[in-house]
Amino acid sequence: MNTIHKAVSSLSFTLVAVFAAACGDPVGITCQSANGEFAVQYTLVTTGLSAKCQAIVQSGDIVGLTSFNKAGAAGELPRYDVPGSVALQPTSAGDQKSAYVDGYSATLATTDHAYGLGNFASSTPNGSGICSAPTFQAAHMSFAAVAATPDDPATADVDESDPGLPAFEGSWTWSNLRLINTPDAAGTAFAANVQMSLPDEDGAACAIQYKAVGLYPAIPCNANDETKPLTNTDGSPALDADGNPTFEQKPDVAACNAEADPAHGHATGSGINPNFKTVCAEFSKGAAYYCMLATDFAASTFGQ
Amino acid sequence: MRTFRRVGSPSLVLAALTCVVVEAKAQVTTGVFTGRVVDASSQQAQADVVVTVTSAALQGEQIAVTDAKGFYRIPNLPPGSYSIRFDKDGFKPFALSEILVRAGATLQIDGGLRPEGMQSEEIVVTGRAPTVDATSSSISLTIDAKTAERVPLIRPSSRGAATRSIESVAEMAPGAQGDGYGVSFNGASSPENAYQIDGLSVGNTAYGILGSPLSIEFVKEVNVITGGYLPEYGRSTGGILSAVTNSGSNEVSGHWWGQYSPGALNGPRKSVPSSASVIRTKTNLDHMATLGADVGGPIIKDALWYYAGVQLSETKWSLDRSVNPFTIGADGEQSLDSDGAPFSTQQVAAKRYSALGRDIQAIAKLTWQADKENRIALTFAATPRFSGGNGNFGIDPQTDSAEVGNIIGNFDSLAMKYKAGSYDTTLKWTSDFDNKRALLETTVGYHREVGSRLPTDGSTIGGGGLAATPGVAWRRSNPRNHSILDFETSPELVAACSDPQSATKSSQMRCPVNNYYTGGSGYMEDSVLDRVSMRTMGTYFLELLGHHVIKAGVDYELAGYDHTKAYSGTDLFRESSRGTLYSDYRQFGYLTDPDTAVILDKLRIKTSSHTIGGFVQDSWKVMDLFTINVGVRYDAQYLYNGNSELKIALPNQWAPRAGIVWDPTNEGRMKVFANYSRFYQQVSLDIADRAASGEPSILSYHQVSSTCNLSGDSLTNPACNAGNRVTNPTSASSTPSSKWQLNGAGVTPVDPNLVPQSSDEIVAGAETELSAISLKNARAGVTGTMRWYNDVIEDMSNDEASTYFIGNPGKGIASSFPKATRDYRALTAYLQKAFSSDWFLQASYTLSELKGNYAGLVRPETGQLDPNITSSFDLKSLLANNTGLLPGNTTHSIKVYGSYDYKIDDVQHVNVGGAYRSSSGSPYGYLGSHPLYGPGEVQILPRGSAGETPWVNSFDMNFAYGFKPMKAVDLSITADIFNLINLQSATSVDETYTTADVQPIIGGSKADLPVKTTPTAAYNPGQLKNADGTPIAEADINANHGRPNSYQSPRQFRFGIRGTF
Repeated sequence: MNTIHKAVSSLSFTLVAVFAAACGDPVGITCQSANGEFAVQYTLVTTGLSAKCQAIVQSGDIVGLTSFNKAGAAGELPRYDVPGSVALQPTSAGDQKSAYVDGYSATLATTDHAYGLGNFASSTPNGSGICSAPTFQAAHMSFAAVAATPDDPATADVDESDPGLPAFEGSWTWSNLRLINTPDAAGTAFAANVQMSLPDEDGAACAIQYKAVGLYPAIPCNANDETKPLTNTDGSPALDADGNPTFEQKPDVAACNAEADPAHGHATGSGINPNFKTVCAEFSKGAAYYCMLATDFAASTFGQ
Repeated sequence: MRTFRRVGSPSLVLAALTCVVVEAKAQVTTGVFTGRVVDASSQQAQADVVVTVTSAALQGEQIAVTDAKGFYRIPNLPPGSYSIRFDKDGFKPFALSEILVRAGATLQIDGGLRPEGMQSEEIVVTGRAPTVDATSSSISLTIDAKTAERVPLIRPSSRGAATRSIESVAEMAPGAQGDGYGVSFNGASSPENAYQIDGLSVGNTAYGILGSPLSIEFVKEVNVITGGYLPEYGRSTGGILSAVTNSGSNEVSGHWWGQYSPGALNGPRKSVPSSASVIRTKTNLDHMATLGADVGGPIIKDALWYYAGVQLSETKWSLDRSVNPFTIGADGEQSLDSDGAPFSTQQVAAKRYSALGRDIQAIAKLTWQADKENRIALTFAATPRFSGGNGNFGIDPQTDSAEVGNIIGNFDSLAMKYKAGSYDTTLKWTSDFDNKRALLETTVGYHREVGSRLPTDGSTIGGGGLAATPGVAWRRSNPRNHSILDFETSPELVAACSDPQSATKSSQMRCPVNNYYTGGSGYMEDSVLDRVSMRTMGTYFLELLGHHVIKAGVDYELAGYDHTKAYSGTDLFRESSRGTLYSDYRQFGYLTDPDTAVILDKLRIKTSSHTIGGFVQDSWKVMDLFTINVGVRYDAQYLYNGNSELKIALPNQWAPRAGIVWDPTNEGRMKVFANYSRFYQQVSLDIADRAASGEPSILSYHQVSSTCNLSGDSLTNPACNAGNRVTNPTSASSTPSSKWQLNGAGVTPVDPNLVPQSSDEIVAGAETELSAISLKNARAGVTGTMRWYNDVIEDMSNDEASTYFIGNPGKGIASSFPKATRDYRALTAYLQKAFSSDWFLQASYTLSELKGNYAGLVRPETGQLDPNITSSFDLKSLLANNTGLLPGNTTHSIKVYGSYDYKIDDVQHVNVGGAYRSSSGSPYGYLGSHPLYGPGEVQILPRGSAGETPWVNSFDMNFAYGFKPMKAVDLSITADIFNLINLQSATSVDETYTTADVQPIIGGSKADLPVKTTPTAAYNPGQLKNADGTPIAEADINANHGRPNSYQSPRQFRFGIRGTF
């Protein structure tokens, strides 16, 4: 019996040693985007725009992203091993849709969306921690004009007049999306190209192409510039809804800080990954500033 | 050492060592005799002395022969009472008997043989059963079933009391304290312990707590090892709880027992002044009853023994619910008391509910001595438990207490039916070789646990009934809460809660409710947890410049967690605070496209982990002067997610151990020791199930309408919910999905450079026998322990709750987080007198300090049991002021246990036992609300700076009257009284300083806190600011801060009867 026991024992020693050598590397993160609003900075690529098209050029926008997974079998988890997809919707597109659909009960064609949708090229990031979605189904919306409503002279004290809306035809075509996907930054920054076709003030289509860089979460970094109070046309101080004076805004870089700073009014950190280099960038002239990726950081991460 | 006048006959030494022996080494469940035999007159070593060992616990006898130096060693002895005899031609034989061997104990028995011719009546120092184990620096306590009978030990309302589980006796160890999920040692949390029965690892594979609460009646002894142990044991940063089950013997014998704890006799308990809820529930123990029997005997004498046992137990808690309407003043508003809170003077609609649970335990064991050198034991143990159903609430198997504290909702919605329990099969084969110079031990086992939490009507996940009905959480608060009359309409309630003049508003003022549950059962789960475990270990005795005991072993473990979770009716609805919408608060599912949802009616995730380990150690008695214990352990663990992908790899767990023990007397009467160890933590599968596999959830909002109003039939009408879905009010212009929202944890990524969780320990101490002061079989000593964490695995968010990852705080991708610290320092002075001359005493005093920023695998502030994924380290902003005295800190802890046995006559005896336990309170702090994480998550001042809860003292006694009505039959009647004088100290206090979102005062002190308005001074907000920077308002300060919210258990009785045959 002893010999049997010795044999069993030595076999176990060898088996365990073999097993110890056999285990491989853990699987990494699957391609996904952070779910929510990104502060996106646009850099104009198109040259030679007409003056009217130049007037609708944007410096940035808040763009919402959500990533999706392919369905698994009934009752099972989704297929994380198969590339998923990602949708991008700029606020300006959502506002356009809302103006017609919520404002005037217009209907959007079933093939039209305010979001662009593209598939990831693979289910896991490449060696540099980047997930790509090269091509997108364009976001396209088309609305008929809404006629103006004149005031009804029969009701003198109620003004039913409504200016209506012009016809709208616009599209946003995203391409070459590169989303960072590392264990500590799961889809919280991206670079992409976007081709927009939007009407100018006369309704003529403008084709404008941008390079876009986006950062999640979208953190405003403006502070009141106390030296520049805003005034109404008559010179009186312009007040906000709570009756407080309003000022021009200036950038407040401290708001982008990942570290909390309770002494200076930041109870929590900004929520931006501490490994990202950020700047406080202007979004629309003088009114809004958002934390953005620094240009050199974006260039080295995404190869812009 | 006893001396005798020798008068020419073999001497017998009565050395009944019971109960407490320092040491314990292995998951070895056997003991060792070793020693040196000399010629008593010349003191010369004697070779070729035949050493024979016999016992009722041993099949046959074991024999060894002393070597050239006179040394012998007989290992592999099952625990029990032994006789040892030394024989050599030319010498008078010499014997000792009634020596108690404990699992893992090494007893040094030296022999002095008198030559045949010796005539004089010299006083010869004979061998003695030693008290001090001078080869080991491990700190442990052995408790057997007899001790649990002699002293009052298992309090009825404690965890594992009804089943008398092995864990419930572990609190006897110095420095041990309960933490809600088990017993914690050396400042660690209970899931960090390793639990073993007969060498099989029986921890819960998902949560790390004890998985097999086997009754101590089936167990020979429980070893509680708290530190300083060799690498045979590993994979735990807490303590080791190891039990050895009973075996049969050559005589058929058995015993039976019955116990009853009547809740009606409990002392009056202080009640907590109530919070602002009109529904109140008082929970009291109704009764606890246990009945069991076991029997063991031979199938073939000296070769094949059997042992079997069964135990039934039942626990019932009574929950007395009442409605206490608030008093309304003449102005039609709620009257407020001096603290500004509403109060009530009436109590109506009293109703008693019960929480009922039952346990069945069974054990069967065969021990086969195949030949002189091979022993094989096969054990099967089962501990199924059931609670709830049939109109009763259930008992939460993780905490052993009633599943609800306050019954705010329908019975059907709150009550669940629980199943739990373990089924263990173990095969152990021990062989010895070479005149017992080498040993081989192989253990193969399978531990299986089930756990289910299902609706009270018996329906199952995927079935009909309550399982198919969505649950609803009502929480309207704006402008007013619901009135209880919206849900309960007995005439008594209607009369008490309404005011004839202003029906609705008045009943909302008088009887408001919040977080009221109706509908189906909500969260359900069903799981199977199992572990296959194989280990083999060899021991070799070598003589080289002293004596070496070399051990080496390998082991492999495959742990699995098959977890199905679901929400009844696939959805748990929650009313919005305005009462106009309701959301899918909890619903499993995911999106495949914008606004395209796949709802999962359940999530079934099967995770697993492989662990391999190996060790090598040497216990070297250098030149027989002092002992060096040195060794190293290697472990590697690999965790797999629900898709069988490797998610977390934790190899390279090298754990060195080194220590030295010196016995100045060289006779086992005194020792001085020091030891360094590193321990690694085995990661439980909860992290693989929840974080590494993900819990995808989606949420949408529905309109409340007359046809879909969340009550009754409308709940189960699917068209009602799908048709009622509205645009998500929280969506922005930029949100691609307008109706659906992602709501749950995705798959949490893991730092590719993750390192395992480990801690280091240094222990040192001294111990001496107390024969000098004529205390036989007694030892006293002092030990010092220091433990600290090296690295910890936790889930964290770098970006204030946007995205999470699993990493090591302070390292790798979590470098910007502070390191997790938990520093434990303790000094223990103890005295242990084993039961002999009719009495027993064990006393210890522990002075300790536990501080840091991480309490362990349980989060004490919230009671969260989610090993390695608690909310402790989630956000950096949660860590402000988080370093200080941890909640488990108990500066002073005194434990005294004693018993005295008085023989009335040959047939009757009385045993009186007592226990005195005293511990200083635990630290508490000032908590505020965090803007993202909610109430109780901000430490306003450094952790623990508000003070300490008061000392808790308890005097317990027990009495047993025993008699022998006939030969070989023993009967006794027992009574245990816990908390004899019904002391009612507060055991926890309200730590909430404010429910407003506030900023912590980093490094602040009490002087920085607001000062309330006094007649002479105005309110001063101090340094405390709201999250938005404004000073905190006086009205936001909780007047109840520091007031008790729980008290120690009142006086409780347990009556029992037991017999042996």
